[in-house]
Amino acid sequence: MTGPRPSSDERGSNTQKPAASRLSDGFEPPHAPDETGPPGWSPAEVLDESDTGVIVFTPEGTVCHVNPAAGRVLPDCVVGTAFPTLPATGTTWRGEVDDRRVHGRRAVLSDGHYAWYVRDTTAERRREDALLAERRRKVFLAEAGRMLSATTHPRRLTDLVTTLPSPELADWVALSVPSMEDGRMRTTYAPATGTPIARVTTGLGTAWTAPAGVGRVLRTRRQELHPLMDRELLGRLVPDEAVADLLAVDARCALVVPVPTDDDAPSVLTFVRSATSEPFAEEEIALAVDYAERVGVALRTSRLYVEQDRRTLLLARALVPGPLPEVPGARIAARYRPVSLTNGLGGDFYAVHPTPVDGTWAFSVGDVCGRGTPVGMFSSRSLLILRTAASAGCAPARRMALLDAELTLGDPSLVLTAITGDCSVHPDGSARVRLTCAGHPPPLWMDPAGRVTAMAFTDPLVAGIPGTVFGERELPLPAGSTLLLYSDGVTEARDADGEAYGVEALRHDLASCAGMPVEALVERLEQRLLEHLGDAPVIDDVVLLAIHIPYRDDHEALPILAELGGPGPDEHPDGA
Amino acid sequence: MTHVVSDELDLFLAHLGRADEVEALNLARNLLGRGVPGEEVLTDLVIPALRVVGERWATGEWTVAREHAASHVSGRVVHLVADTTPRPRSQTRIVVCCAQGDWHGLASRILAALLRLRGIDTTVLPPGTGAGELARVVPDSGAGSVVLSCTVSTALPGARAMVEVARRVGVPVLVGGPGFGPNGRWAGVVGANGWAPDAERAAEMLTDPDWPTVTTPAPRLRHLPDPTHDGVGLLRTPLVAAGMSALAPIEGERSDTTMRDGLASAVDTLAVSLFLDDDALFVDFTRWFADVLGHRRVPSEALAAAYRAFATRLTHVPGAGATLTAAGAVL
Repeated sequence: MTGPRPSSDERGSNTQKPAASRLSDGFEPPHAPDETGPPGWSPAEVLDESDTGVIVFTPEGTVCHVNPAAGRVLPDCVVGTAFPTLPATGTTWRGEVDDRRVHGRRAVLSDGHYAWYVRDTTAERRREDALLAERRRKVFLAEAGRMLSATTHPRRLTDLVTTLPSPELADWVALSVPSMEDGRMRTTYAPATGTPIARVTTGLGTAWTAPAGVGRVLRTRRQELHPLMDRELLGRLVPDEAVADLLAVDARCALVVPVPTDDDAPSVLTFVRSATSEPFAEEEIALAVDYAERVGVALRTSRLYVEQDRRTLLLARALVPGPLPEVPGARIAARYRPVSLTNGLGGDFYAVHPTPVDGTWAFSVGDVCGRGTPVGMFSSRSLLILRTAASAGCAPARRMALLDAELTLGDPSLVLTAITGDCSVHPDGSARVRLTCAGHPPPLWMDPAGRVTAMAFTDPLVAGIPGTVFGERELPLPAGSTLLLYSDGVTEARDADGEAYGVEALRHDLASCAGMPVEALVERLEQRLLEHLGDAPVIDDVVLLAIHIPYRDDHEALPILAELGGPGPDEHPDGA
Repeated sequence: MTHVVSDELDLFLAHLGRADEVEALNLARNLLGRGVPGEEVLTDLVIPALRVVGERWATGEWTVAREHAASHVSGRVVHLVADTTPRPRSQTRIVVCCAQGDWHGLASRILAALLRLRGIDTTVLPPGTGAGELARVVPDSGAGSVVLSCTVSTALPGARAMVEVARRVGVPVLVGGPGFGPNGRWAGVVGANGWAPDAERAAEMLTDPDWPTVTTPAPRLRHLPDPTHDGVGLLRTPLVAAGMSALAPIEGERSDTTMRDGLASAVDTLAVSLFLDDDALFVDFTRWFADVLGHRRVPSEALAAAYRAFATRLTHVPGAGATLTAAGAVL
């Protein structure tokens, strides 16, 4: 009911009655009521009092009767004229007349006359529009809140903050983040669709003392509305770099809102609308404040997350195995697929390390049971003990005993399984492995012909029980053979049906990799494992470490590939 | 400007065939040293060589082990080329990954290298990265876009899941690769913001001012949630077993991983065909698979028998029977 012309309310108050003569000039109701109507009232009177506007047309399309309600809805409709706004055909009509929304229904009368029954629907339509707008704002806030809270990367977050409000809330948005640490103010804004997001850094001091805009909002923490900006005011509200852009789109009004972040100084959002958009309505200012609140939560979360992430990453980086060293006489490759850090640090570790003996190097694979920071820390300590013991020249069983002794001192709940071994390469190219396996899944061994054998061990796991004795076994590795060490996360990985991958499948898949370079071998095994898992999540760290003793001259590997390259290629003996 | 010549391609293929990493890398290094642009080493040497490797595997000339070895060596060459380009300081920062269920990590690495050579800052995720992992990586990485490569159509549901998680945080997704069908006909079903036929076009699109900074969540699929896709997927193991026993009388008792893997792919393809509501995918797969089997001297009647076994177990799935019949017609 805020149209420029005061429209009647939709119930139709009949306070002002236009001159009856103008309205009924020349109108003869087809069925004269004089004789048949009950005494005391006439149908013409009923028409005059109706809230629904009624306009009767002759068959030629000339208006022949207009009741008072119709005169209020369609003031230009005059008897005796053709009123082309209302069509001569169809059954309904919707239109706008002088800012009012009108809805009409056409009925055909006798003798080819027809009537339009019209109602002013401005008020109800406006209510509908308000409801729709309210719903749109709710959807916008929900969507924006969800996207902001899911984004933790600071730069990406500012990108989102400045692009999401357009066009719902503003044509141009800037986010200014003051930093007390370095006395700078970082402003991000999306200049216009299709151009990259701009970032401007200014001194905080000059902004702080500004009489209007971001600086003032920083001091007062109150929003500012500038319903009509001139060039000078615009220059004070937005970064210099953006002024030309905004003048080009005829920026008209601005809204500057503080973003509550629980910090000393709030961040500030500046919304600008161009002349083609409506000025900020009350609900829209409320929406901008709501939006700023969500931005504040997201900015705070992101800051905490980055801080926490940095700490977790520092710890995790210390635990993630580095690249494997090159060792003489062997090729080693590993695949390590840790479960995400959100589930806590895992306890799996592996490494290849030097020994004081020439031509001999050591390797270790282990798994501290459980998850969490203490487990992760102990796993890195275990690795350190094994490495130090190896470089001091201790044999595998002795290394394991040292690790066991360390465990007696610490947290009694910690238990681990591990393999540690020495590999010596002979001048003829063949190698010998001496290893201790304490409760860990025993290694698989593939001979040059592609036959796979599982080694058997009976040693207990490392649990810090005094007096535990660890044994050692020796295994010759002729040139062309491969030793595969793996964590229980490999064989115990379960698919959606709960079926474990299992040692047999691993043996079979290892056999199918005969002749591959060792990096390709571990890659393929990981792939086979993940294929088995399908959509099921990986719930335990996966470690695969393969040691391959190559032929002295790489070209001697040829016969193997050629031999396996014949017809019927996919049947490799799998040693079962 | 010097270019890759066909002799060098033959030589490179020979190195791949012997899994001779050292010689293959030397060859690439020499080309780069001679002034051949890194991009040409990829497009005129590595990609054509991999195409030949794929053909040799399909015709049974090379074993899967040899194919893997060749891919591995090619991967080292891609790495070498990527390493020779300094890290771009571009504003365009993207994450490149394979669709979940697509194991052709080399394709996404080559794509990433080509984009990097065009000045786009890329992070490559290893194959096997799922939607869950992508959902964790993307919001933290600061990437403005995700580029998703898919070489096999069976991975399209996985691609859809990944597009959904990226777009949920407002990150637009560009897709490419043969998995999306001719002219990217299935890119829309997957919910991508765009499809590019090659790396060059992908680079253009990503740096175009019209490429969105922030996107809306992926539009919902009208026919989803559709139980048919999941229904077939869940029956994978019994269906493959039924197929294997149906073809045993024709093929004899041999544990052929190609056959088993092939039937598993057939089930997956059938499921995806129903997901896409497009028979063409399954029919094309059948034609290709029959050809692969032909080279391994397996009669197409064996595959037809397996399909009949599928059909009797999928009578409850709408559309499955019709799709299997359409595919059976080409056998």
